[in-house]
Amino acid sequence: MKKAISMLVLMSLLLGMVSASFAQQNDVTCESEVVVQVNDWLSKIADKFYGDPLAFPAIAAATNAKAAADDSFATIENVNIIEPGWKLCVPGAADAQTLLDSSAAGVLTQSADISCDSSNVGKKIVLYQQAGITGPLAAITGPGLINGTQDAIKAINDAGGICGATVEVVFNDTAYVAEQELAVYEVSRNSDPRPFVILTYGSGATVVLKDRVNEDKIVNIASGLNGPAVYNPPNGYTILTAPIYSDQFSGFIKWAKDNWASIKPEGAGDEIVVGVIGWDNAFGTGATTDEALAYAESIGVTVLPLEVVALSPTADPTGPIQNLVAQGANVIYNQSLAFTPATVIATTRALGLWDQVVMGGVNWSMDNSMLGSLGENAALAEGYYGVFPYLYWDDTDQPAVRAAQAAFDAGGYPPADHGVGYLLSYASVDAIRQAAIHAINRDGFDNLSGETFLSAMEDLGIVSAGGLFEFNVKDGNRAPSRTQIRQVQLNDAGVPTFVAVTDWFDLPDTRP
Amino acid sequence: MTRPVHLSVKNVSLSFGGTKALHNVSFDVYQGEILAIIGPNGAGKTSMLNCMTGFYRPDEGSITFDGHEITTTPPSKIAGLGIARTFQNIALYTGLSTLDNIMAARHIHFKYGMWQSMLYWVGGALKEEIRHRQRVEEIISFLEIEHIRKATVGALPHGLRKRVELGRALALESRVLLLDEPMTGMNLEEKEDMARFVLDIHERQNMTILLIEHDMGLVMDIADRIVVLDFGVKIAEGTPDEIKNNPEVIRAYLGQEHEILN
Amino acid sequence: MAVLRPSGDFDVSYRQDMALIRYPWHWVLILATILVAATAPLWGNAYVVTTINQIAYTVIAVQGLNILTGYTGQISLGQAAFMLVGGYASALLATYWGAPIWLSLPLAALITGLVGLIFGLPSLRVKGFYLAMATLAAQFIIPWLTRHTFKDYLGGSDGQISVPMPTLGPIVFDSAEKFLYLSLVALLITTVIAFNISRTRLGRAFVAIRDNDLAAELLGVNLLGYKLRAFFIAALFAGIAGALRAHSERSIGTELGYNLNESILFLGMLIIGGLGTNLGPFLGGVTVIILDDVALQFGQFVAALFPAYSSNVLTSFRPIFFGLVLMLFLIFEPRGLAYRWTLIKAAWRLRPFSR
Repeated sequence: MKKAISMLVLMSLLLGMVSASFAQQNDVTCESEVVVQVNDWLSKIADKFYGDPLAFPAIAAATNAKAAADDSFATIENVNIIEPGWKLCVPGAADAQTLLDSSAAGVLTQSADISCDSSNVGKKIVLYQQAGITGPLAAITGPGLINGTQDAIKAINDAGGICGATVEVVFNDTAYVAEQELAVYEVSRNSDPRPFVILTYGSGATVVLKDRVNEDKIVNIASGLNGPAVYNPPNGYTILTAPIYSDQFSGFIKWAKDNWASIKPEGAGDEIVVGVIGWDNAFGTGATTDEALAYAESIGVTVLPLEVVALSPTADPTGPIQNLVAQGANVIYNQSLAFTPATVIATTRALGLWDQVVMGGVNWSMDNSMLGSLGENAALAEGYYGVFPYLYWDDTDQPAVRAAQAAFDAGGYPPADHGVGYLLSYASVDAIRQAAIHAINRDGFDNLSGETFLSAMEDLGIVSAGGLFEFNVKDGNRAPSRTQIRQVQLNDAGVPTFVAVTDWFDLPDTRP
Repeated sequence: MTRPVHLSVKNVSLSFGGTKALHNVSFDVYQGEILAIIGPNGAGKTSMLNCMTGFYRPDEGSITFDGHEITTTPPSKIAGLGIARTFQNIALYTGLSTLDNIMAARHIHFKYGMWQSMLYWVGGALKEEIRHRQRVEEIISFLEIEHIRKATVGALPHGLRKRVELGRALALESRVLLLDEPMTGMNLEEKEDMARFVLDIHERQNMTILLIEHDMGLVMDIADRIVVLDFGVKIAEGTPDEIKNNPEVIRAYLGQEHEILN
Repeated sequence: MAVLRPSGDFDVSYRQDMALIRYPWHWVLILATILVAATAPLWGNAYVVTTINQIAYTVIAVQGLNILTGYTGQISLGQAAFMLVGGYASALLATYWGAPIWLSLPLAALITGLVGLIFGLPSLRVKGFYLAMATLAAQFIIPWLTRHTFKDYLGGSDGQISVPMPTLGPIVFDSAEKFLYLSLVALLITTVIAFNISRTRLGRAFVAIRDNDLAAELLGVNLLGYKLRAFFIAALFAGIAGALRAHSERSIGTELGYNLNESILFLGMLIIGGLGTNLGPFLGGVTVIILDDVALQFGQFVAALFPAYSSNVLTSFRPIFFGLVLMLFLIFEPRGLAYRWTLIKAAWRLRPFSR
């Protein structure tokens, strides 16, 4: 009897929560209901009602909330696609602000569908992308990057280009060699039309190009996340796709510290000792900057000296792992990508040390390329934590991911390319589109340059990259500073998936 | 013998591990003579030369040159003292031309240094090169090897290489020439040419020559005196005639009697 | 092989006989090469200009290695590390003392030469593979030091520092086009120096050590002294190359390479071009750098032919193609391209009797 009562209480509680959440969604009151006309964009509507095109996510959120209870409202899966005839819910300004705030805190900014004031049909915009398409990191920066860029550009051009202008891209291979990054850049900057934005993917590129792009006033959308290179000097032309490595590392240890009781290995003490295994290059040493180490000290976490592993699939991390564990490490953080975290995972398992440490790593270390390196042993990665400042293929409930997946499927690419590389370039191009449109609207198409492009980004402040991640160029920022922590978990089919174990949270600030 | 002693070997012993290569060997080389060292294979002839040129350091005994102790002088200093040498297995610089091989032997006579080498035209390198080139051309002409002046020595036939090596030793302008089997592997004509060069050098420059050679007939013809080694021990010393009739020598060469008396 | 000359062609003085440029066609060839390289900004795009620039400083580094390995026979795996020293030296001189390039470049070369001396010391005691291991130490120690010591000056974990644009009086070398001339002039000077070394006492002593160190010693060559000179000059050249590269890339540090792979590649260039020849570094450097670019382009072409395997082809084609070509070179042209060149010259002179 007692049991039945407690069951009843439990059920009613659950029901209450569900109805409460429904109630919350239905709580949205529509100040006006708008039927989408031809040539309408969400941001246009937002501009009309709030005087702020960037407030469009509030309309999308309100409409989707209404649609849950009322079929007459449209469901907006992709904020870039709204069809004439759809009924939208436009909340009051106050409600809109609340919705925007909650979306800012909880989820990523959505991509804006900014309208163009001018038409530039017949003109073209050329993007220059350089990466180690071949070379050691080809598993991440190889074909996936190219496919992502091409698909994003195709989508833009199919929809009429950027303000009518056709978008093109020039790829250049650098084999992940910094010298090549420079040589290729030298060619790009002298090309016609002169680039206003380039996309690069490597710490080497970020570091060696930073002065050049400042001088040449060419925006570098960079995925090599070295803080010192980006903020020294400040307000430069390098803009990062994810938080700087030292922020990521600090955030990871902060999270570990806050959640130590629940994540700590069996038998581990209260003291957190972090060992970092990194490559012997700017990337590998990028996490453990002086600022990050100072932060670790300030929260009482010990960080052991960096253990270096060669940037090679055949490098053996046994020594570094044993060194770290012997020094009392109970957290191992991988500042490396693809094959290296894979071998660290496999080796730690083989050494029987897996249960003695919390294993995690930098953003891209937790990627399809890492699982791919493990091959049929991908399940070994179960339990690996990663700093995760973007959405991933697993987030099928997210419209932005579904859109990317549809593009990927349409391309018919092999599963090996189903990694972060595709998402990264696919989404970056979308951000470029928004900032370019803003720049064109403000300064005119013919004045589209690195300078106007950067100032357009600064204007926008936070620019969504296809809803998959966001750029933060607000107040001198050059990199976002929010992330989730995710963990590799096996789904029912035994396939590793990347499951968020935290909400989005702000990283500690370890800018130099 | 009234001629002054040039090179003096006193009680030299040398061993490698347990093997005695030389045992208490003493002899003098007089100025302006041709002294031949003979002995069966493994008698210690080349070891003796290596001691004289600083490659080996004798366990006991001393070697003096013009009264100066050279027992422990390193090989690179030997040339500067005035001792030149050829090797049993030709030790030419195979990658260089005949000309450059002989020019290389003038190394110690050059004055200019590294920086002048790099600058060449200024600093005197060119001038000095031309001066030494004249001297080297004299040697080339003496040895009748003009036609192979610019040929890489690695590609030359054996007999010519031996001649180039002799030229290299001459270029040092030493006072003593140590020739380690200068005629091995040569045909009769080449041997006669070589013997003529050796005698020419001896006569024209009054050069002291120490010669190791297996061809007994040749040795008997050109040597003033002969030292015989056997198993690292000096068993005889004297003029060719004395040696020919020395019973110890005949015993050492048992079975090779015919060769000695040839 | 004997040097074949047309009949009736005699030198009438030793000076003439020792000259490097002997025939009108020598002048034509040299001037044409210089002209092609120097006018690259006019006929080529930025890629061509940067590639020629890269070839220029690479050839200088290989020339240095040629003096050490080709002429003196001392194998070295530390040339890239010495370039790092030169690059940092020139960069720091320019950054902190505002040294113009005509001062910072030679000073950097000298500093690098002195560092090279230190790592040349083991050469007295060890040869061959053992010496390779000893020079390998330079390749580990120097990059480690740049990353872990004097972080404020050397860049620390960034693995690089930025290098100011070189200045020469009122001229600022702020573009690849301008910088090209700096590199070409430096290459011209190092080439003349390399030739001068090879035809004088110094070069003969080096070859003597390589071909027969016992005989060399007995002919009065101080082995340690000359081996150290070879190390000094090799590092000197590496210092020039490193300084040029640092200024042209406008950054210096381990992040830009300067690793063991590069040192090995320099050796590879030298072997392909021809050890112990002055033409070798040119032929090897040009061949390898262009080959690398061809491998890249060709890889993208092949990938386009097989879209199903494009990712595999893209990632693996370049190293496989490159490695394969190197291997074929070693099989079919083991004496290097410079040797092939002398054969071609001989065949030309002997025509129509050549094969």
